[in-house]
Amino acid sequence: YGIVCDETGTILDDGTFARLDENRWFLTTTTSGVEGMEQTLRQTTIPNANEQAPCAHVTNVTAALAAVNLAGPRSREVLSALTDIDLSPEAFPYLGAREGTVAGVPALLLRIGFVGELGYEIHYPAEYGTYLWDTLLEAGKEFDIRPFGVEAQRILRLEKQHVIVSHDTDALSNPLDAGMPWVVKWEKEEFSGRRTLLHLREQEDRAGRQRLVGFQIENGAIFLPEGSQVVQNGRPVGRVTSYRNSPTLGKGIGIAWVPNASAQEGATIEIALPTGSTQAAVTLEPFYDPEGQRVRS
Amino acid sequence: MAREPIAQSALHHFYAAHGAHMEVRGAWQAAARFTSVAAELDAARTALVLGERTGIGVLDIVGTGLAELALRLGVQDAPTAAGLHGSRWYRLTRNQARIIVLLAEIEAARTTLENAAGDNACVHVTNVSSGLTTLVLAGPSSPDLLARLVRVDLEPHVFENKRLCLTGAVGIPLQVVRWDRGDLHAYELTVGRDVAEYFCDSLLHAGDDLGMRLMGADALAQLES
Repeated sequence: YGIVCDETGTILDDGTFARLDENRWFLTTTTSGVEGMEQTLRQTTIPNANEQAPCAHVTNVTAALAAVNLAGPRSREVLSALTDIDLSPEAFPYLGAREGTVAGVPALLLRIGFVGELGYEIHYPAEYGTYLWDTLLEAGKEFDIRPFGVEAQRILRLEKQHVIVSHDTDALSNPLDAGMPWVVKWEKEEFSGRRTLLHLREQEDRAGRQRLVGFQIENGAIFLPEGSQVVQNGRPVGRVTSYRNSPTLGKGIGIAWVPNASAQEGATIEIALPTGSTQAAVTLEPFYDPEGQRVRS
Repeated sequence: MAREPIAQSALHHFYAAHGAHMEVRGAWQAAARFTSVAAELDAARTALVLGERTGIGVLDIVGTGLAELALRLGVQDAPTAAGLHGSRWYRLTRNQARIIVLLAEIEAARTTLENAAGDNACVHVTNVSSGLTTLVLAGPSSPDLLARLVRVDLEPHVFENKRLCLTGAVGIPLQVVRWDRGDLHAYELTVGRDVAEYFCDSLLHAGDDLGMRLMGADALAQLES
């Protein structure tokens, strides 16, 4: 998993980056970000004056691939009956990528956990989209497999506080303010936005900045529209970017931009409602499986 | 695991909605016919038909080593080359070419290209077949319909047989190859798989007054032969 920033350290997009062999990479982006990322990557291959063009090329294969997310504690069992790939945690660990076949179809498997459970993203030729979907459902019958839609995935990812770029972030967000300093590989000598992010990291006074944090509301029955204002003394100081009622946790959970001073575990924030307001508790750790044991199982 | 994988066209549900009789042909579930083979062939000879070539593959080649590769393969000028598994080579830009080849031959063609390029050449070959849908527009009225949709001079002496152009139609990128079937005007129209249904629907509407019909795989195979 990684984030791509521009020179100002602003998040352009996020996705997965898999090295398939010495000279071949497979990248995924957000749905709406694919063309922007394609352009960004192409621009990086344009040589400066007096430099030789690097031998690096980008091909957008989005329309060529179908992708399904097989997730849940039984996903390994379902998949193992259909593939020649060794799915054991030792041979195929979390954040790994493997090429092989699934039900006779050439496929790339990414072991990632957007929804917070053991899971596999399966990327395969689009013409086999229906065939493999049906085959997976058939193989999963004995494990009570069910299709799940975007809405369930939104709740599951929220329980993990997984950010959706361009939904929870905006055109000014950087990884530090977005609460994702862990994603920045400081040890790399060079990457787009490094200088700006280093400068931001060294800034001690962050009083004027906002932070993206998780929050929870004990009364999960409250309806909180996304975009609701975080207020202090009746004035807007932030906003809610995502909010859902979690059936698993029995409470309302969300992600919001709040003043940096409020970005403390357990801090209370006030969120304006259409009538009145409600209080919420800031939560910096994932609501569900904070140690990430389930995705690594 | 017992059954063989069956591929579906991006237009599978579109065909079903238009009354196609679907049959498995090779690895594909194909629209075998919409009415009768005879009626579809008659439309091709007298008016206009639209069918799909599911068995077509496309390799994209990019890199600064392309000119050297073309020289080695002897395809600087000609659209086809011996030893390329019946493929058609199209040079799009200085550093970009496209190979159109039967899907059954695509891996062999790719290996030939990569071997010819050598290990150190700046040439990358990508199989983009799964992302594309290729339709065949054939019949005496096919230039008339196409002229309504693209800003390309389709005069036969200008846009000659076996020529390729990249253009756009109804708001989407379009590759047009003129590839006559005998004495019958025909064009192979390639669009992204994700917009294939929209494009096909647009063609049907645009060709409605020209007596356009959908053509199944059986009639198309007879045209090919």
